[in-house]
Amino acid sequence: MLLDVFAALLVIGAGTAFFFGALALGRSNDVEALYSLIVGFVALRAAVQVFRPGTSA
Amino acid sequence: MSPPATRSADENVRAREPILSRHRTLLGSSVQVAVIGVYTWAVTVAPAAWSMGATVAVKAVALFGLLALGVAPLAERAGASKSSSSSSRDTTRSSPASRSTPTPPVSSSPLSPFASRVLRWCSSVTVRSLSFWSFVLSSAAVWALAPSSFATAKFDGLRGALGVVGWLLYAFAWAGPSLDPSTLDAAPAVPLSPLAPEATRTSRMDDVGLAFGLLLSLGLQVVGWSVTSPERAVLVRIVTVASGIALFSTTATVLLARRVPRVHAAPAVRLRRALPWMFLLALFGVTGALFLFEP
Repeated sequence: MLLDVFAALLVIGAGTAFFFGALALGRSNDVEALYSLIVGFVALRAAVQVFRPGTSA
Repeated sequence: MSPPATRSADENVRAREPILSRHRTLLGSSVQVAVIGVYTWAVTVAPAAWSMGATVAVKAVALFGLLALGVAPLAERAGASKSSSSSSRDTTRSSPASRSTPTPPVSSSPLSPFASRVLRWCSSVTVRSLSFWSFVLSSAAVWALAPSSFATAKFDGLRGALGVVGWLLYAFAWAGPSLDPSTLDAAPAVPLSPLAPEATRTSRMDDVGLAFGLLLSLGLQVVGWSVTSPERAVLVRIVTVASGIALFSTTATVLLARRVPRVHAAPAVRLRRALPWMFLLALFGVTGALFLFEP
């Protein structure tokens, strides 16, 4: 249960990173935008790995 | 005094189901086609109908096309209620107990009785064809009646490309077979798929999760509308749409993964599996903090 909450927090973090990435892109701050977008992608992948159940039965 | 309204066991079960399962029969192929049609109409027909110099008749023809789009889903739904009522009638005939206590027909259609009768009289295939041709011909009529909106000086290339994609998607969606929504409950979600039989029904957790993912994805779309440079604005839109799709598809993947029959991994295993990504995340967090607080 705790891990599921943690994974949900990671998804929220990814959404926030994407949000700030898009804001930075709008301000023409490309380095900050790229950084935020990469952080968002990594957070999303981490959330999937944490949330995913075990191996196939 | 009228007897208290009693609900059948099936109705009670359906009332307890979460929203997605309860309204799944509404999501037939015509609804999907109508959604794409509304998008196509908004991108290609509405700008022409509400351009400078367009008359009221042109606007009326455009609105008629939009109305025609909504008829097919209603006909599909009326067909579903027809088939469900006929099946319940068969059940009533076969059961001697139910013969003594006739239940009133349950109509899930929001239409007036006259409109329902008309839609049931026409087959859903006929109504689908009528809806399709009404929409296509009304769109063509709008373009013919308001040719000034296609002047080279006024024509937006990006909107034109989006319109081409919209019409392409609309054609593909209409090429699909007409689904009978009443069979959706009985059939498995995907034949021969690893999904468990109970995976055809959604839970309240799925509703909350999907709504959450949708909110996050839509929240991203409010960014970047005040960017002045057109190229930058297009780039921001592409990034926000791609990010929104990634967020929503991840949410759906995670929710679906819970439904595949699997052995639940121990928390330590799940954490170990996510370790490389967590390490990368920590690395980016530290470098970002160092960059931010650099003296």
